[in-house]
Amino acid sequence: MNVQITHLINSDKKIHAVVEKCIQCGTCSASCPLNQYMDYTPRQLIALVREGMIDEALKSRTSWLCSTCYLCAVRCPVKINIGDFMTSLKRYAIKNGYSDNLPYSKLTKTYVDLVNKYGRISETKLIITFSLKTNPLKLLKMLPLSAKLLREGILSLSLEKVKNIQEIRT
Amino acid sequence: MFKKNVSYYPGCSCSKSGLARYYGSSSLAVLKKIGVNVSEIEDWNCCGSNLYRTIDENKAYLLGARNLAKALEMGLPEILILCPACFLSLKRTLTEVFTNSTLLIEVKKKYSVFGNRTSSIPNVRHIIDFLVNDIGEDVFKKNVEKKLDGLKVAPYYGCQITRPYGLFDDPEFPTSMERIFSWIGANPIDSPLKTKCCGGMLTITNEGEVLPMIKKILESYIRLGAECIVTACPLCHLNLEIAKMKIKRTVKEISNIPIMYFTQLIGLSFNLPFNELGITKEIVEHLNKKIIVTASLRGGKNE
Repeated sequence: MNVQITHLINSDKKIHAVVEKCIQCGTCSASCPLNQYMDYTPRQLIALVREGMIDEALKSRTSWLCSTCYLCAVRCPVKINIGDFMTSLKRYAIKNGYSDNLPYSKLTKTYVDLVNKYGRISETKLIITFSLKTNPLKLLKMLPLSAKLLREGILSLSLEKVKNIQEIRT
Repeated sequence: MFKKNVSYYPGCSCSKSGLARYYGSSSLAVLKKIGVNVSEIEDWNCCGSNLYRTIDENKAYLLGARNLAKALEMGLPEILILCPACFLSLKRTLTEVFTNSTLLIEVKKKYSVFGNRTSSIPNVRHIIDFLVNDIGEDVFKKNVEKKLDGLKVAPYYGCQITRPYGLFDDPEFPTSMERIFSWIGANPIDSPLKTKCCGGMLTITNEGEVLPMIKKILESYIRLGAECIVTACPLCHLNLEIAKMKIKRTVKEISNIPIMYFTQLIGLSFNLPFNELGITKEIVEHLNKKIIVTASLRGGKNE
């Protein structure tokens, strides 16, 4: 086994379980609602990791398109949670600098910053902060939706901070 | 009368400043009418959702554990949750805390209430589970003041209410919401796409890929003759609304189909004030046209 695969498998027991138990039946790939947009299907991604082609696996857009709907997980005949495997792979990719420019990676970081600052998030604040960081023009595209939410009186920037914020930060 | 005390975790979306605030307020109004005494968890925080878990798994569980600890401190271990993502996060936290000994030690050190001999183990419940399995048909029907006879309701569960654990219903074809609808007189539509993914957070980052998916779900519901689409998830709700705006011009029927939270519909049949439910007069008038008026023949009250 090469060094890369050992490091990846040892970093996360969820990745380890998938690599160990997967029977390559492809039920996950067939169940995935986003499979048509992936460069490797979930089954292929697992095969890549097994073969030690870690760079390919981490550069693939497959895990970033996983919405964690867990249809694969409930259908898997050997009961491995492929959705959680995708989350673990994303975490490993972020940690090791494979995904600095990906929008989803930026979204997670924006989310974590908000939680660490306020203890909670506001969807409006999350979307605005994220759009300003990535593509401010997107905000213009969202104007019709914002107008609708504003009319319904549910669009607000207010965010009540957790009182004992120290408990969150430590 | 039915009496029960539970704690309530609103989560960011269903809180007073969240986009799903009316999911929150309508649920509280429905529970109050039934006789459930609901106390909001004091100073609650983010559930440690999947977005947080993608960066820092351990910290995500500690965030979840803080909420569970607060509920235990209040002496209300039964925790009601509306948002499926929060529900899954806290359920997962609970499972992890009690199966991972290193995490349990860390959690106990931070929140001494865990593993304390006198305190119970938190019981994380989704509101659908609670309404169907604890409240039940008899208590429910006693509170119905206006039956929604004949209204064709299309339930949309989304993914994380039943997956991956499948705790109180089938992971792919749940029927709990349908049972509730039959108690309030509505006609549930059986859709094969009711637990199909709405794309979740990907609408923000990968709109091109997920929008066609949500459009397909909406179009399927229209073909099945839905008069009202009902969700139980803040994110599903928002994504359906976005898709609705996108297809409004080409699919004319869609503008007549309101997308509501299932507790808003229950509230309507309980005759609760519109401002608490967060539904407009127009929606109510529109739905009234679809309801077969048998309620008035029975003198307003059913059963």
